[in-house]
Amino acid sequence: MARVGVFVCWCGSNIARTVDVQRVAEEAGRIPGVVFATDYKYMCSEPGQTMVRDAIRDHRLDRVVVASCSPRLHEPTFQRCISEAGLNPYMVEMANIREHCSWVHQDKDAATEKAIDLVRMAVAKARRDFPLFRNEIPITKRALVIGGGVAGIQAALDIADAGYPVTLVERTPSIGGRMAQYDKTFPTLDCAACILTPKMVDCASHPNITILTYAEVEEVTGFVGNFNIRIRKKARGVDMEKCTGCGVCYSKCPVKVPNEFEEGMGERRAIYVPFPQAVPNVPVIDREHCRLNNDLKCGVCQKLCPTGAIAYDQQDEVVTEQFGAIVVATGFRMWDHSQIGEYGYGSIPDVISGLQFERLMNASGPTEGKIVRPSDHRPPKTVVFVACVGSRSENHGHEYCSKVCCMYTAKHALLLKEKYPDTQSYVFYMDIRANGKGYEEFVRRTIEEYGANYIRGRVSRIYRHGDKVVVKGADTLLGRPVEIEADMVVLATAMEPQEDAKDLARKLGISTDQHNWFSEAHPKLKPVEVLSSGIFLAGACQYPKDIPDTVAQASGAASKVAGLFSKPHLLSEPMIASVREEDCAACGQCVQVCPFSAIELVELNGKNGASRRAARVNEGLCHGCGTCVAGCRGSCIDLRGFTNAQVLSEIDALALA
Amino acid sequence: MNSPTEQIRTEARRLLESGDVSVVIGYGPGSTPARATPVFVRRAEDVDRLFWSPACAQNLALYVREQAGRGKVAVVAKGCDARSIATLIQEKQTRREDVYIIGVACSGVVDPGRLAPAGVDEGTLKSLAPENGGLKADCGDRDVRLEREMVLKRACLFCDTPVPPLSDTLIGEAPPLQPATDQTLPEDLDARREFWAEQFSKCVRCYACRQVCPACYCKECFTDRLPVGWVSKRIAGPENWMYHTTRAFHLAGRCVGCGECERVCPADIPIQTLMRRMAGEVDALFGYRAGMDPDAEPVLATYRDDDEGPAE
Repeated sequence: MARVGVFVCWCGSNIARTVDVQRVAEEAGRIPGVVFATDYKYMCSEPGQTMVRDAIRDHRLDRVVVASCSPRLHEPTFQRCISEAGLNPYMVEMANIREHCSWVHQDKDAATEKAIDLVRMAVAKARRDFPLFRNEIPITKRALVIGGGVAGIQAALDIADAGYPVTLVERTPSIGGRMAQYDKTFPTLDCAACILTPKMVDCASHPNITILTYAEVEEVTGFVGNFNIRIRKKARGVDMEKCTGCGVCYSKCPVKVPNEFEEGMGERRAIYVPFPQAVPNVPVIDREHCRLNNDLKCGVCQKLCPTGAIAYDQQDEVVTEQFGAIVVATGFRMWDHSQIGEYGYGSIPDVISGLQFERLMNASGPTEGKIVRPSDHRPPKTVVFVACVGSRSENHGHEYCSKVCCMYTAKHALLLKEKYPDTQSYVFYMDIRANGKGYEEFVRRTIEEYGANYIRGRVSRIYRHGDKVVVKGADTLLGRPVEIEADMVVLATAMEPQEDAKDLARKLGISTDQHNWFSEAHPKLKPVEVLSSGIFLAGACQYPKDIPDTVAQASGAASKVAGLFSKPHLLSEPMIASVREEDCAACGQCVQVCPFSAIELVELNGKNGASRRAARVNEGLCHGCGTCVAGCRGSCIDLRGFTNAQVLSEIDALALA
Repeated sequence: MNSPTEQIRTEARRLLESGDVSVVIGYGPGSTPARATPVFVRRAEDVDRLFWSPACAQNLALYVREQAGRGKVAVVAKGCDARSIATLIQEKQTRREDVYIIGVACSGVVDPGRLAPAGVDEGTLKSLAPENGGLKADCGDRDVRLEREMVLKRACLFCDTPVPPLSDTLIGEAPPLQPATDQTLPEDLDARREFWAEQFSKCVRCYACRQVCPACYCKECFTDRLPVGWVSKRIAGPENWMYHTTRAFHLAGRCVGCGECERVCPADIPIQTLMRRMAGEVDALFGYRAGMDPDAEPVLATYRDDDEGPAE
């Protein structure tokens, strides 16, 4: 006969205000099988846990029900607690009388009745609890970092420095990411290249880091500690072993293409390195534009290459490798402002994006750092900056705040004035969000020392008038319309998830939010983890972030990886599905419905060569979601810790009481 | 052209003589001209035990599973039977290469239980043969013309696949038949509940419907499982509901509509009305009909992004 102890928590006033906890404890004491019931202010505190351990000893409890908060919060706490008292950790059940009861109800009597029902259900389930055990799973101590921006670079360096091999996969021809495009960084005005390129070089020279550029993750199978990942290395057209990076090939290539790295403002060749500091410094042939690939005569690069590195017929290479952990650092893209008709649908040449302005300011940019209007290459005298373009807007773009635009706009206004003291800048803003170290001071400096004219209000229309660009808006603080004849307008466009973020999420089996940013496991306590173990997030693929936040999160992700790898082996989660093989008809429905590919049909060999098939669960892959249990017509799969019998006895306790 | 019976025998002889298959599962004459019996022919000299007539009601896919792993089998299959085999292949109960399908185009089979109400005494019946879209019954002293609606297995009237969608050889040609529309169910939900309450109350839980169903191959049926808790063996309203609705869910997207469950039901419950309804829902939602393609993934075990959401 089971001996259940029930411990009802007040959670301070969180529960006790709405639920009569003493009555719950009294009623719990009357439930068959319950030999001890009590209540306490904070069950999770050390005195509370001691109470549980003492009761296990004094009343010879063999299972425990804690009526408190969500099991997501404190189930591990009480599993540890009862195992210290000698019970199997899976002999505890949580009755959630906080999130499921006190927080969502006002009527104390009704809430108390509900809490009693929840406890009754938990007791019914606990009576059918049985000990569960964890198994050891080996770990492949190699990490994969997806995305070679500053987040991926930092994560790779930190993991590599911790002593573990890392493969850094980047889909463009060079690592560096967005940060490589920036000029200076707020609020310290360090040159982005000066602080980024050394890290890029460190990555390339680190003995523990393998960089795969121009490569993409195609398929992810396996589980924490043992991911199998298929990576496609796209054909570069250049032999990485032979190329010395001399640059003769792209200096003579006859094809000119708008340069993506310069945000379309400069040109590159069909064979190119995206920017001079690229790592690796090996060009790529853009097959879409290469003359030879379009059945035209050429072959110039091949003729000129002194080392014979050009390989037009190179094919994509697909490799499958094992990794123990994955850091996702795929970053963001800029929202396209040409969707806004009021701002000229992107057709006004002197209305540019913040990132384009960044390239104009950059000494290695298309104008070598001279800020000029794209239309006539004359320096602008009056520049209007518009914040929140595509951010914080229900009509255009996204509802969320892109977080970095306030700061980079202030930076743009400041740097403009610094380079050209005779310019005047105006900044249209909704709120100034400068909540980082030194940020507020930086904005104030831009306004007070550099004379940027900040106007609070939205811009309603931007249009051409002669060679000027007219910006019409409202100054909502003065309550009057504003019209500015500008030479150039810079739009602080929103950050948004990569176009294929959802596809990658599906490959990885991780979730995304309504905007397609990757979802963290817990917004406060697990900001780096995702719900699938062994996968971690770094940088703006999760949500708009500036460089300091990105680097901090990347280091956080790296430390999670290092922590995982520092263990000799992993312990499997015991609350997983198990098949009663003797009842299995091997229809394979569970195999098909399993979202984690954790079930396979195996051959069972009997005497005299007889054999039949049955489903079998891979303990490392199973997440215990229970989809297979629902899918099994023969009810021969059960979820340990949540067996059909347990769930049914909970329902009985509720419905038949 | 030889008769279907001759063609079946010829094909069976060829298959057995060449050793391509170890057994031919087909139909032999039953106790009356309105009944057939499944026969298992293992030697070429026994092929004359096989025959074909409108009495060949059984779905022989039922026996394919138990032959799995004993070498290749040949099965005489009507449209519905072949779809059952396809379902078994989809659900990994056999392999396409282990089944040789002797497909027969079928214009409907007789439910002997319906003869007496149609005025035919099965005991004196001499023969039963197709005739001008109906059947001719030789009752010894007189010939009786029987319309399809009167004596066919009810499911046959709704059949839309008289020709097997998969077969290795095909005997006969597609009959010019239009499937009927099932109008048994009242539109009004209360009336419909009433209807089923009455129907299910007749159930004696003999499980003949389950035993005869090729798709009901669970090693232990939920209803036989002692600790299951939510359904018992008691023959009573809610338990009967539970049994029939659960079985319908288990067969959603899998039932091919052969109608054997309904034919063998001693309580005359219109089980196929429930199954057809289920199949209609699946077709409407996912554009999927059970057993039409042995390579298709079972519809309810797959997920696609463009799948319809649940109906509001």
